[in-house]
Amino acid sequence: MSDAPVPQPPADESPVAAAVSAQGLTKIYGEGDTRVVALDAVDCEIGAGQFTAVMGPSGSGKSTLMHCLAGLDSITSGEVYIGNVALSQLNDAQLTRLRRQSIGFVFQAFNLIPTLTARENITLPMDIAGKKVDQEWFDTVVQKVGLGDRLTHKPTELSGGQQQRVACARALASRPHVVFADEPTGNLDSRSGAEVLEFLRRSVDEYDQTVVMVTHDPVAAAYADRVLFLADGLIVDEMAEPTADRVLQRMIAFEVARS
Amino acid sequence: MIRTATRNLLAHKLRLVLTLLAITLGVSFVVGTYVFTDSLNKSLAQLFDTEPADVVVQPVDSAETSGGGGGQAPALTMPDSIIKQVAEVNGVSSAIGSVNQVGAIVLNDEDESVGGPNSTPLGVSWEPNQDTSQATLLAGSAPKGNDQVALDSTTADKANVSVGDTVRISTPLKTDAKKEWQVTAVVDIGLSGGVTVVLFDLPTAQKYLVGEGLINQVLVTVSDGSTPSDVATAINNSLDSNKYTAITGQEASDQQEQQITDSLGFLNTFLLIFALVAVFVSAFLIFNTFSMLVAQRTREIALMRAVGASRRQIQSGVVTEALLLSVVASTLGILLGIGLAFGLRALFDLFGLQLPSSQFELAPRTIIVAYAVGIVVTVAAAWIPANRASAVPPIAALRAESSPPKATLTRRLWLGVATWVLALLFIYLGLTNGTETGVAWIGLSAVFGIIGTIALTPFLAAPALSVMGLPFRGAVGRLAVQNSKRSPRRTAATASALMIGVSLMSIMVVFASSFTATADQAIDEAYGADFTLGSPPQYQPFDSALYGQVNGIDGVGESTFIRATTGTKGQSTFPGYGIDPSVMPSMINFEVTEGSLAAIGPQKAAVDTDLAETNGWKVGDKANVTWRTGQSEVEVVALYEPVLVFTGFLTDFATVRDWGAPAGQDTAIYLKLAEGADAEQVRTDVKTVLDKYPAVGIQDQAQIKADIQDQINQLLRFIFALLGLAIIIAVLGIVNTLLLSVVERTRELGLLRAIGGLRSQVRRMIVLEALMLGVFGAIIGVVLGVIYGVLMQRSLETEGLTTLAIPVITLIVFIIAGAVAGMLAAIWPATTASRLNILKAISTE
Ligand SMILES: Nc1ncnc2c1ncn2[C@@H]1O[C@H](COP(=O)(O)OP(=O)(O)OP(=O)(O)O)[C@@H](O)[C@H]1O
Ligand SMILES: [Mg+2]
Repeated sequence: MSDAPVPQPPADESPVAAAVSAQGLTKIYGEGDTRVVALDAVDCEIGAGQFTAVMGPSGSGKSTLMHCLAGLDSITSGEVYIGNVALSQLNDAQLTRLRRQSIGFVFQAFNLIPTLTARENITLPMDIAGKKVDQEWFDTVVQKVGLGDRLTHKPTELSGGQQQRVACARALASRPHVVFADEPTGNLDSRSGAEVLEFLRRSVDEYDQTVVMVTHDPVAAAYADRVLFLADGLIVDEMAEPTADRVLQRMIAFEVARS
Repeated sequence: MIRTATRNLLAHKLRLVLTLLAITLGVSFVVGTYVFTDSLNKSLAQLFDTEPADVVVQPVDSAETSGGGGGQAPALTMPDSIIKQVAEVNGVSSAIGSVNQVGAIVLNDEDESVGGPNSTPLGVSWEPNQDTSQATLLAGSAPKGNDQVALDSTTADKANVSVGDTVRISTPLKTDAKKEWQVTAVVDIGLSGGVTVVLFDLPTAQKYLVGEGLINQVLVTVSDGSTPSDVATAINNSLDSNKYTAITGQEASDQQEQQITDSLGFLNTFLLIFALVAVFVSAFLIFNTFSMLVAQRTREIALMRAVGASRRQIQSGVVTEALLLSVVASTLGILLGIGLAFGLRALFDLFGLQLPSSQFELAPRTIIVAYAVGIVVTVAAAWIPANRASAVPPIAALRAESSPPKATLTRRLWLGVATWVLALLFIYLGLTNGTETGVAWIGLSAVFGIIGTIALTPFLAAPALSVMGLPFRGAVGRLAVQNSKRSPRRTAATASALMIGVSLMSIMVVFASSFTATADQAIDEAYGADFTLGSPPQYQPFDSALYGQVNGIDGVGESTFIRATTGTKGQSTFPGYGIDPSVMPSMINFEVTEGSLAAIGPQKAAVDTDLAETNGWKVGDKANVTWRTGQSEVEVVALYEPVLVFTGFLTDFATVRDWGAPAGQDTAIYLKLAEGADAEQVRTDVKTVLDKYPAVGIQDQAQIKADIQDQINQLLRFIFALLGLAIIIAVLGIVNTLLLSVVERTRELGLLRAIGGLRSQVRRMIVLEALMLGVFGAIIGVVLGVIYGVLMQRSLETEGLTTLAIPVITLIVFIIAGAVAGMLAAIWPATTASRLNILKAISTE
């Protein structure tokens, strides 16, 4: 199952080398009257071992960017690289294997398979790849997200925050090249949200995990190393070492500029 | 409300299509069965609508077995001098003789009947009067003399001849002439299969069919001013009423119709049972589909409740929707069902069971039942769960994970257990009561057993699936097992439809195997002859000149023949055989329990033990029996155990002739090889003689066994073909369930793909789910079928079904077929699932 040749992204050489990059990434939905340019020739690089947040108004193309970078969606033109692998060169099965081995996902909601226990959900990507679970790493991850006593529970028996933490654990369990999270705290109260963000932050600090997170929340963005601002399908600005206040100001500035 | 209902329907296209499909299939199943049965009956009625004449005079057939139209006993004959006697009776305007005999075989190039081995080859005399004739002239002119015949149109087609061509025909008399005849006419007899009809002029028919100077009937036209019933009475008064009887044409056609309906009675009963199965399975399919949809719709309903819709509004919305849907779908189902009926007819033809099919009948009853099933079941199926959903507080419903309330499951458990308790009680009654009511109890128990099992399957599903899932290691297998276990009810319902079909088929094969095994054993034990000559399957008698020709063949040792007639006593009908008591016991090993076969003679006979017991006859008693020729007092001189075809009375040849066995005609010849003779050589030599008797074949022990096997298999194939339809519906049910569950699980499947599940893995997961469903249904069906098959055999043991045989391989094939059916059913849903657009899937509400 997993023995077909899968292009492996190379190991990173410097701490700020690009884990994921896009060149001239364009995504157009529909045609004629319904034509929407969701991404307009975007160039960007996601630093390896960095926590990158993507922000922007609703409809600005954040989710689209994330889906295209993660190989979940086809692109109209341009190129996306995961490490040194150009996604346009891959067919569906190869893309799937790449996702399975090199990418972790956390969605806003409905992250877990309802028939499986928390533990089974966490190991699912490895199970379907037929790979052995690295027990030591599994224990570490589970311990970090604080789920030790909940592993045999089904998703319906977990709170929203716990569910998102299981999703984070799953995303990290296979030690992916990069983790993508689309508004992972969008459905959570601030305390549960903080736990999830805390966890993502620590995985970057302690294990050099690359994380890309889409968010609406300046507080969440403040956990990141770097924030990319998107508007109308273009990256209009970026900010290093963000704080919640600075991010908020910048967002307000956009709103003013737009209106 | 209608507007919201229609919008609701259109909003979910796939859901709509699937529900529509379920109702349409269900209804079509019912309609197909009814239309087929009704058309058959109407064709039969039509067939005997025309009266053969105003009055018909025929020999008294006390045993009422005469059936020129397909019965196996040859029609009785009488001298044609009767015609003149009848013509002189007051009120008779004209009287003509008529001949009507089985055995005129239209031959193909291989010297076999063009109608196939199962058709009845009828030879009849041409009736000059077209008004009363049951044959309508299509082309040509009446046959005249020794070289001319007319054929019915179906037979002419099969023989590939038309007016002016010649055909070869073998006739019961003058069999040495596989004679060429010129076809002068083609007629329509209103029957499209099952018989081949050859028409001769009267003198020729007498000469070749019944013997010169003999006829079967006199057809009378009454003069103006006389009524048929008065004339019939007058004729009866003028003739010897012990020998001849006159009946009106109306009575004659009623009698004939009754005979045919009787002989097809089993078919009607079978089709009726089949129609009930149809209604049941269909209701199941519809109900199942809807209960799945409501799980999906519970949230929708809760949302509507949350924004202020009243319970009544929601209920009437659901009902309106179900009504709209079921009316449309039932209408489509009726159309499809009509097509299905034609398919069934073609199926019957395919299996050589040709039926009269001139008529097409869509009875109002069919339409009413169709709409009733479609609408009532659909509305109930929609309303019950919707009512449940609207009863819970909106927020609870919003959160609900489509798990049914515990209470109904508990109720179901009790229902299942209670039904099975009844089933077991009936089994007890069946095994302790005598054979006749015993079988009925077992049959009733089977119905309860199946229903009870359906109620209990949800409880069997989880453990069964866990066991079945064991071989499926890996994440995909585990997911598939989990998914099947997710809703035990749904899994159970889907598998149950398959279970019904498979259990009926399993009962059939256990029964059939036991039957064959019993017959084989009987042949092994009782059959002493090396060869039997006869004309299966109906064992029409043949010219006894044949015996003289085969017993002289080199290598033939002992030989003998038998002759047969029919008798009745009370409700029972049985054969009477003429045998040679000095030779016959070495051919058939009769187990004589009392008296001696050697004692049979004029009006002295051996009687089988069952018949003797029923009537309280003992050796030395006088049995009062009605034979075809009338009543007679028979002295019982011996009792024997029924063996192979031999039941009823055994007597000498003169006596059996007296009882109505046709003169100069044998039913079978038995041969033994002489010491050291070469069996194959003898067979070849006998076959050379048989060349002149196309209707007669030669069989050794193995061939007789094979023959029985063949006949059973033919019947089985036919039953399977019908049940196959139920299986197809069940498989479509699986398709439906899986598709719906794919729709329900869209997000989950998208997620699976996003985190790295390959298309092929998704596909495999769905296929595994279907496979488990199929195997689960098939296994329960087989288990249930074996249980009831064994019980049937047990209850029929005293009736002669002594050996139980369970065809293990066939039953394993059923289970494998269940797996294959499941996998076939998975093709469409699995493809749909694997093609889901990941992003759309994960963003679906
Ligand atoms: N499947 C689609 N078909 C057509 N247009 C689409 C599709 N998906 C997204 N779009 C359009 O592309 C644009 C970008 O959408 P996207 O979902 O990336 O926005 P977003 O920044 O994630 O917004 P939000 O913050 O609301 O999630 C929007 O204008 C949206 O309407
Ligand atoms: Mg978005």
